[in-house]
Amino acid sequence: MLIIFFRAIILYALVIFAIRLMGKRQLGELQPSELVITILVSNIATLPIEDINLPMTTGIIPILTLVCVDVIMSAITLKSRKFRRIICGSPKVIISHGKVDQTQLDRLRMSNDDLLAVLRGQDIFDISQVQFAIMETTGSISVMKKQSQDTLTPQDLNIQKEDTDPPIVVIEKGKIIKSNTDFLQLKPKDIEKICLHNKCTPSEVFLMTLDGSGNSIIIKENGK
Amino acid sequence: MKRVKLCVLIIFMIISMSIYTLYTLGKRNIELYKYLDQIKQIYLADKNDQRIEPLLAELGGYWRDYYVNISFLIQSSQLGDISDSVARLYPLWQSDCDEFLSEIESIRYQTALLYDNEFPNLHSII
Repeated sequence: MLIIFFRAIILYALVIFAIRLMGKRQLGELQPSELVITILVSNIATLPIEDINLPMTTGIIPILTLVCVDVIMSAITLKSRKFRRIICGSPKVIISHGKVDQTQLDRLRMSNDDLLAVLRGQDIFDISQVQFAIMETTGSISVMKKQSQDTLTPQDLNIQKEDTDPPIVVIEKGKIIKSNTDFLQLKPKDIEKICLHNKCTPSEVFLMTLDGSGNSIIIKENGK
Repeated sequence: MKRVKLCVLIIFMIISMSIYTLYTLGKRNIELYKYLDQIKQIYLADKNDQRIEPLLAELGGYWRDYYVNISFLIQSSQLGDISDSVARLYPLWQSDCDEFLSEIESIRYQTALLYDNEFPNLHSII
């Protein structure tokens, strides 16, 4: 029993390491090769946990090999467009100039219902609003609305707005997050000053956010 | 780029370890065959030669060491069969059984098979 326990812990750490090695892209939308790796890794990892007759290497070596090969392949795909096309495929245009490409839909084995469902998922209930739609290599569909149906922007209304970065967390549960203050090019003393201005100290702050223009939001901890 | 370098390093380590393991397995097999040959030779000359007993004990010890070193690579059920054969040698010799020699050959064959299966031949890969 203890053997299974230790094996499970080791393989858990290994799978976490493998997923981290594959990078953040892995956690988002999966490319075909990444999907294959994910399924394989999850299957391989269970074998040596369940069967103590199998050496751990029968799990460790294939997991590491698959992940490493995938990372190396993705590095090659970055360099070679041709190779990328072979491994990841290419995006397919399914609506162009407002017209649905029926041949392409058939090739992608996608029904009209599937297409309409995806559009509805993007708040488009009328297909005539779509100018251009493309199926990405990850399987998701990107849609561009017709100009006449597009959302108004401040630029359309000739309203000048300053471009600012979104606010980021600088204090969480009384602790100053150094990487974020560095990003804002601020020193801990500056943060303390802002806190003092709001009649508190950093240790009393539950959450503090700050944007590039210096606008801050401070939420004090309960009872402080 | 750091990830790619790390992956290349891991792949390189896996290949190196595999080659080293294969080499060690081959070396250990040669050592094991020496014991088996020696026992067989003495046994064929004189079935009741008392030199066989310490040699069998040495072989048992050597196999235990072999088992521990190789168990991280090979399914334990495969090694279990060889362990059974090694354990059977002493009682077979004591009871003057004819199967003694066949058991020695069985150990030799099974360990050779272990090495062959680890070697990346086309038939092993497929």
